[in-house]
Amino acid sequence: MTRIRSNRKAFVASLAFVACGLLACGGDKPPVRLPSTAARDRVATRVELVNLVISDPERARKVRSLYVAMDSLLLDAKRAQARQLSLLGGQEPTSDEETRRLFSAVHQAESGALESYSKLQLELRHFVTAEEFARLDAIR
Amino acid sequence: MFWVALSALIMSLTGEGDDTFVIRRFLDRAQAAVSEHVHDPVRQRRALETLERTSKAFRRHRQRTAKVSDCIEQADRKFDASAADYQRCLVDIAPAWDAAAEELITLSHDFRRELTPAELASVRHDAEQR
Repeated sequence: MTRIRSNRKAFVASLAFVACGLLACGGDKPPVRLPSTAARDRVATRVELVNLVISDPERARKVRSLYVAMDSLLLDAKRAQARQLSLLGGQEPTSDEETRRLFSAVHQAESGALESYSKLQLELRHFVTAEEFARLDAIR
Repeated sequence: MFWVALSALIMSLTGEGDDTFVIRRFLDRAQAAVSEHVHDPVRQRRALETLERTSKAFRRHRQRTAKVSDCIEQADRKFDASAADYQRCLVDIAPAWDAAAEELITLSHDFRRELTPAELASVRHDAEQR
């Protein structure tokens, strides 16, 4: 029994070490961010500057609300991914099937959020002119 | 605290912790800990090789997801972008993560085979505590 428990702990530890490398650890350069993280960064920089680019208050309010919605759903995706990673790195060992299921949940959170994000991005174009769009795009 | 839980907590709090430097350093510490605690030269070499393969697998995974990121950014920057433009970007997300899961499983089994439970516990302790 002790040996089984020891082996289970060993498996959890080994999974954690390797998961670290696959999910979070980089080399000499900072690792590339996940698409949802990069998209959220782009959105976050624009939320507070919309009023400076769009003079019409009604459209500015709408565009700002779309950016806020994008930020919110991407943040929700991060939280969902965090929950799955917590399960993967918990004290209980995960089977191969469970590992696959948790990874699947992580990418479903990523895909689902980016799918919704793209719809909001397309909706945003209905409320900005090409010139305003270019000015918003220039914000880094 | 288990490292994944730590990274998850950071992600949860900041919303962007998937590339935190705190977690990035973990692999370097794990390599140092393997060198210190695994005295059998053959198993030590194999364990270090597994960590190196892990690091490479991670980079491959991120390079793959970076293409998704770049594609979405290009669509974001195009005023006349279409739903099809975005859909094209998303097709590789599931395959990329599925491939990462398979690599994770294989590398985990390899790492477990190379270290005794006691060595693994020591390495884990050092990597998390230093």
